[in-house]
Amino acid sequence: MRYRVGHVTTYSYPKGVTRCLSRAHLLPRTTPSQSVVSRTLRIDPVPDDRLDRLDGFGNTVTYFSVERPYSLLEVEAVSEVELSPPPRSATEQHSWDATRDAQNHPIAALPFTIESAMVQRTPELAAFAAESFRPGRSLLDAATDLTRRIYEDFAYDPTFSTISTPIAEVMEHRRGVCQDFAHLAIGAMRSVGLAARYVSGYLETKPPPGTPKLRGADASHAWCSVRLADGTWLDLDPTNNLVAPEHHITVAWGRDYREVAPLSGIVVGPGGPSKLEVGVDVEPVRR
Amino acid sequence: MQSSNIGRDARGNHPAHRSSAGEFLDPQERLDRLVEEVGSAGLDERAGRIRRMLHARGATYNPHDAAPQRWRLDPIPVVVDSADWGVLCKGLDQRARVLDAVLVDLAGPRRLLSRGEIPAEALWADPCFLLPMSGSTPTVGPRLVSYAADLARRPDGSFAVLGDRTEAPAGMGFALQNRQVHMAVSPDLIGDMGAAGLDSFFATMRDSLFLHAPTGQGEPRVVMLSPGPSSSTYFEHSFLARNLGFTLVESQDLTVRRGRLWLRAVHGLEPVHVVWSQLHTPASDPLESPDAARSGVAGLAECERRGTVGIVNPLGAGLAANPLIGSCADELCRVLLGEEPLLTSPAGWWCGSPSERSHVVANLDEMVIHRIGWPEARPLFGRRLTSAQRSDLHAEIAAAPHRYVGRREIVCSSEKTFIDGRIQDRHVALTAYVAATRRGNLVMPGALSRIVDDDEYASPSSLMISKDTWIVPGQGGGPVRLRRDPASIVVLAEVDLRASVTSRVAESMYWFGRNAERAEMVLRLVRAVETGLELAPELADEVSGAWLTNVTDALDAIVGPAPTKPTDSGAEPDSAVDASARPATQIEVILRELALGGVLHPSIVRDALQSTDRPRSVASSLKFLMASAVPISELLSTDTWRVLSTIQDQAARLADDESADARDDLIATMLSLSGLMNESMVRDPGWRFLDIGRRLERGKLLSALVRAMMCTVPPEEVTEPIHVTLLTATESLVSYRRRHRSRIDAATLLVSVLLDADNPRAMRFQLDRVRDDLDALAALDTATASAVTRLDALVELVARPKVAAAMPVSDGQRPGLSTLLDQIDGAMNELADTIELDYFALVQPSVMGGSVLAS
Repeated sequence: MRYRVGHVTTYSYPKGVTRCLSRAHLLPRTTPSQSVVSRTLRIDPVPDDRLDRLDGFGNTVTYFSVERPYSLLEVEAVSEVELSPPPRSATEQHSWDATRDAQNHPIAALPFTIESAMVQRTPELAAFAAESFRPGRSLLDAATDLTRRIYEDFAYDPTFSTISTPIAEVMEHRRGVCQDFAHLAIGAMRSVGLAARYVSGYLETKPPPGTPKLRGADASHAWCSVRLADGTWLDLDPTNNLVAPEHHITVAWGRDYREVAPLSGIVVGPGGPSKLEVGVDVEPVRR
Repeated sequence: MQSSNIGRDARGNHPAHRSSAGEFLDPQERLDRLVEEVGSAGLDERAGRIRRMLHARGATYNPHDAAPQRWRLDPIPVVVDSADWGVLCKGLDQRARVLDAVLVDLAGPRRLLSRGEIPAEALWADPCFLLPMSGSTPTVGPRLVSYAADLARRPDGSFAVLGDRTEAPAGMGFALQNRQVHMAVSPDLIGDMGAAGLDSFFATMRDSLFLHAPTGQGEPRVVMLSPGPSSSTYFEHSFLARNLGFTLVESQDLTVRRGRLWLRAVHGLEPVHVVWSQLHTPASDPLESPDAARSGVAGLAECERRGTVGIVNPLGAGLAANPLIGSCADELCRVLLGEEPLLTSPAGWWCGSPSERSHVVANLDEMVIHRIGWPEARPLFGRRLTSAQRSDLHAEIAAAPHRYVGRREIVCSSEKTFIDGRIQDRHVALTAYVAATRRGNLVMPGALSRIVDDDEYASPSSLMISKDTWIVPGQGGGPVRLRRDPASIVVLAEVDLRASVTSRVAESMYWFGRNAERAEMVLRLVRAVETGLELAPELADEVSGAWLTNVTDALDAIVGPAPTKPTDSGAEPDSAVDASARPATQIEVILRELALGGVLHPSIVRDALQSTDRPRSVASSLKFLMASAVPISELLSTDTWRVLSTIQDQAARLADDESADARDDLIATMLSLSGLMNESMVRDPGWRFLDIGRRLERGKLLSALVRAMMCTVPPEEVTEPIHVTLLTATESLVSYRRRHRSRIDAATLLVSVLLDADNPRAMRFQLDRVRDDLDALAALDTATASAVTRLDALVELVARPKVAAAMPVSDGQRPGLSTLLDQIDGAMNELADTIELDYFALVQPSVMGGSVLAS
């Protein structure tokens, strides 16, 4: 299945700004079930400086700066990716505790087992996870159950959270958005000793006829992955109650949102209100 | 100074090197003997001189969450036999090479992690490990340029490593400072003991920093990047910057453009090639870690990756100070260098491993617990914990075992220390400093020692009492001499760095000038009032105190109103009798005090001097003066600091000593500050801003004074005294009398204080000096056109026809004068605003709004 992704971010500053310096994670990476056919990043005004490089997780990160006054910044990523059904590993049927005890995390996976800036490991999260991660249960069953519980017990509420809502608050109020639910699932799984990472990406905007439109289809989306005994990863989307989703398009992964935020940086100027608009369009490409 | 060759034997040994029986004394015995000669009284006297010198230099450190404390230095040094030191140097060199190799590996192949030599979780928990940015860092040259080791001396003369400092090792500057003070206070001891000097080390360190400039950079520019005055060791940053000749900058002084780093100077951007950074890695760059949004330089890490700037130490070097690496240093030494470790370091156990964790928990009494990931967290001493603290610690470890390392406690040696008037034994830890130079690692022949009795392993930033540390020739070894490597000496072509005044420094200079002027003016006015009363006590009640009302109103106007406190109706009955709130009462009080023959201390005078609620009182102005002195400390001479310290002391004394003498002392010291500003400072742009501040403030205060004293026409009898007071306060009385023998006439007086271009206290004179300053700045290509336009407008107002037209009296008032002063004030404010905006406005970057997530 081939998709074309258009992701436009517009910052407008009615009073104007003098310059900006930014970091973008907007160019999709290759994964076992995703190949990148084409990808471009257009920035307007044309940046005075721009450099693409790989970050420590193998994602493509773009540094750019606009060093003259402007009042409108438009960043448009256009990509085409080919998705195949994610390969399923037999080890997803291994019990989750055996997976944990195998302690075979290679260096690259270790950072996903411990706390990170936005995801702590806590006894509360461990207790929350324990309801799903009962001894001897298969990792697939336990993770599916955790995904379902978050989907059912937490209200999807775009008005509730900001980009830095702590997990404890999400737990307390039982509401949040995709990013919060991803962090919550990651924190729960790390708290019981598993490796879990944050994934940033997209969903199909208009689902095929007869299927419901998914939450998070109009902007960038976030979900998580848990590591299996053989070193492959299983995607979980608690916002939409999906396990190993077949139509999620991956852009980047990291320990949590901060490391793979689509756009971040600083802007210098007279201040005043700014307006941010994001438009995402994901269309299947028929051949 | 007793040190000389006289009295030395044929081998050049001072007699103090031998006992009376003729056997050779070890360095400690020699020191003990010399200290005995100095005696308790001598030590006491030296301790006092040390205290005064440190005070005069403004030497402080800021403990976290506490007020700045004065740096303390013991008159008795720690001495180390040069033979023992030589062994230590080899060990420190080896340890620095091991840690450097660790950093090179972690930045690149990470074989140590994949082979399991270092458990990776312990490193990933370390905020210095900026994982997203790793994997692409250049690894040319040494990564550990500046390294320090905390050491304990052991009974056999060897040393054990208590901890490593690899990010921005603190204390090197304090060590230099301690030595400079000792050179002044105890040159005899230094000479007799033959202590190795530190200058070559710092000169070589300075030369080495230039090596980290991008290649092909002919004239590298090095800056010292400090977190700013809130940092615990800010004094040291400014001290080192001044001593090594680097510009001291804070994050907002730097900016990244097109992948390069620049310094924001008043006249534009200047390239920067090497940053000697005192920032914690996660606080260095908001693009890499959002925690740095307020503290860092956006894009700094990207500049380093591209190789357009050298950062010393490179970002992430703090990782090598991870206690886990320190615990495995012996093994790492064998693995990475193929050498047997020369230095001992206490055994360590990582709690991330269940068996090691039980060992730590079971032997807590012998353990020092180090925590990974909290840079400010100091190690915990197991034996000092209460049972409640123990169970807290157990719970903390259980929650994140990979963040804890237990290391066996090592007891530091006892050294003689002069405390409370006598010599006492105190446990002392040392910090030794290593610099990577062209010729390899160089160890500073000295150290920063500190007493750790109350706070073992106290870091240089938590210091209680410090000791200088002298490396002295022993029986076997000769004196330690470092020579500056001639091949590395950096001779820079003459560059005019005068223009390189950062906007932040320019702004501080400007406020320094303004506040100094304010304090001086208020003091002068108080003195003028007192002089008036002394000469003519009858002034107090003449025509119902019209003179007194006039002058106290002037004082009131100049020091500004106290902020009105929100009053809960009837909540504070006491405040109703607050004299400062009721001017009428003030006068009553004054009159009563006078009538009773009491000393003149009406509340307005006390307020003007001491009230920090009044925005322009002497106390307030001096507080702001000190605050603006801190960011420019590296530009102020030692003399200036001494004067500032004296000003602080004298100002504090005003509260207890309300005599005119105390105030005269302060005025005299303020005048010596002005003298230093005028006679001892280079006319660089920084000085220009100081002068502009001073001139504008003098103009503003003059206008306020004229307004308060001249706009209302007083009763005939007190006109002359009021004029005299105004002229006294503006130091213009003598020159006035020399020019005009007659009775003081209002119009002539105004010409004298407003228009006289030759009177350094007159308004016109101030404007001419501001013009000189703006011209000088313009010569350095600084945009000043708008400021000059504003100045022209102001000069047009301060002119003879305008003043003449302002004199007519109607209804006992001079309405024309009020209007003219309004116009002058307005124009002066516009000029000040323009200068503040054109030169100082440091734009705080804001964080780009987060990308909207869908979902």
